[in-house]
Amino acid sequence: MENQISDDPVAVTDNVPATILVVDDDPDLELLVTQKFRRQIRNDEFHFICVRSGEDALEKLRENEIDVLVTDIKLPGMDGLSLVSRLKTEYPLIRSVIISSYGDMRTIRRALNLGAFDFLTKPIDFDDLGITITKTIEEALVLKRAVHDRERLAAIRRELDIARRIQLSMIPGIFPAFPERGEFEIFGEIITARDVGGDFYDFCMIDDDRLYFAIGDASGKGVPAALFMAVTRTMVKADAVKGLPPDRCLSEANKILCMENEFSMFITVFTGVLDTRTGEIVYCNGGHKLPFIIRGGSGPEPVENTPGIALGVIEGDSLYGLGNVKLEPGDGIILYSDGVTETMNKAGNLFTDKRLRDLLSGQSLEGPRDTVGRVLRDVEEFSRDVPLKDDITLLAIRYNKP
Amino acid sequence: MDMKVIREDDDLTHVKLSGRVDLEGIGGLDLEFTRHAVTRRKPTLVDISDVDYIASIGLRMLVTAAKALNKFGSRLVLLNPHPDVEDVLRTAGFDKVMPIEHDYERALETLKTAA
Repeated sequence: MENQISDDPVAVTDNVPATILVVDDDPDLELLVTQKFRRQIRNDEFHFICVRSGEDALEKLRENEIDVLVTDIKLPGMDGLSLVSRLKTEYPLIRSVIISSYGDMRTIRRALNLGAFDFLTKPIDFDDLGITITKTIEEALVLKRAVHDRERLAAIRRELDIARRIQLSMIPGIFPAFPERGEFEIFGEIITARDVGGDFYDFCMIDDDRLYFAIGDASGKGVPAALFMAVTRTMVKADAVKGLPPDRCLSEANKILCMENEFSMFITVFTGVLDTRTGEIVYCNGGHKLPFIIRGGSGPEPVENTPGIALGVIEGDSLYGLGNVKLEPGDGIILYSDGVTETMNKAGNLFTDKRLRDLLSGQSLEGPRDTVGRVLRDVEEFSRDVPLKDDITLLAIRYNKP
Repeated sequence: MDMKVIREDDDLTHVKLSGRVDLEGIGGLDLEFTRHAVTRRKPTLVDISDVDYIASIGLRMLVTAAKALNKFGSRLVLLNPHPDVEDVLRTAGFDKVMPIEHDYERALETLKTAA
């Protein structure tokens, strides 16, 4: 299920004035630039900081976010060339313009080699000053924007990585899960979408004879969905291992999820308990896709729905109810998320419940791992060359014998 | 997704959604939908007969509107969903928050009953 990733615009460079540091012991340059760019200064597009020495310039560089440095070569104390070379190592994003006397090509070349972006010669030509500084500012802003975009992309990737880790840490992933038990086999798998949905599956033994299992799908994507899923999965499981029946587990979790849910998130959960002595399953459906029962000889049939609604939508005392189904030896149950049946192919068609049902018909004898693998392969083939939009989750159990 | 306002008066808000109600489909239309459906606080009929797919973000948009209307004592009723869409809505249990009707007159009746 889907939602957008948080999209807060961090320091959009267009709205922030470009800051230009001007370094010259002669006050003329300051007068020239403030004159030349008076319109931009008035409109808050350019912001000039003027200092008289290299040392003062270093201080301003530390204190401010400078985009462009304009410096005279000849300065008292630290000169313009040293300043430019400091930029290269300490402030690589700042573009610089150096000013030298007319015809001093040697110094100009040295400055350019040290990393200066452009140069001006004295006596300064008013138009040349305007063009050179404007061009340098544009270059600096393009660079700044590129870095900003890259950082933002990296932040999104980090966020998705966190979401994926939350998700994977919630899921039992070692199979065979109960090698010492011959009565049943269980196998689950999640294929996460690029944006990470909020799917989970879960299972554990409640006592010697009873297996708890669940599957769920939180609305939304990324970290919010992953957290919502993690909280739900833990609440449901906590009640289940205490021995509460499935409808109570969902009802209790729903109460808490409804309490503070201002973003109207919700999560569908199907949960059940298999009695390994009899093959009987007691279950409750909180708005999830109905699992299929696979029996030898007959096609897969969805289990009967129970009273229930996706968790986090509305509060109420008798929203959830129980269902029963009995597995005979050789029968299986397969739980899945709508990521499976709503996977889209290149032509924009959905995988559909029907295709899943057809695929599962007449396959009673294979083990859960094979069943899950076969479905995943078919989904993959169906959606070739189309990136996954939602998580795909499958959990299968086969009951072997009492 | 497309949204068309069919009727807006003192008794009713009637809008029609069509197309795919998913993240791409909704675009910015969820705000528009909320503006018409919720801020008017009137009984709201949402015709979804031309909606061919609804993703969780779409369900969330509808449920949020329905819950908000319930708070003001109004209801949101869904009209004529495609069988696949109705299946999604009923499976998730959302018909408990937003009744589903297949007949315009009956939908109007349902809108009059208390939430």
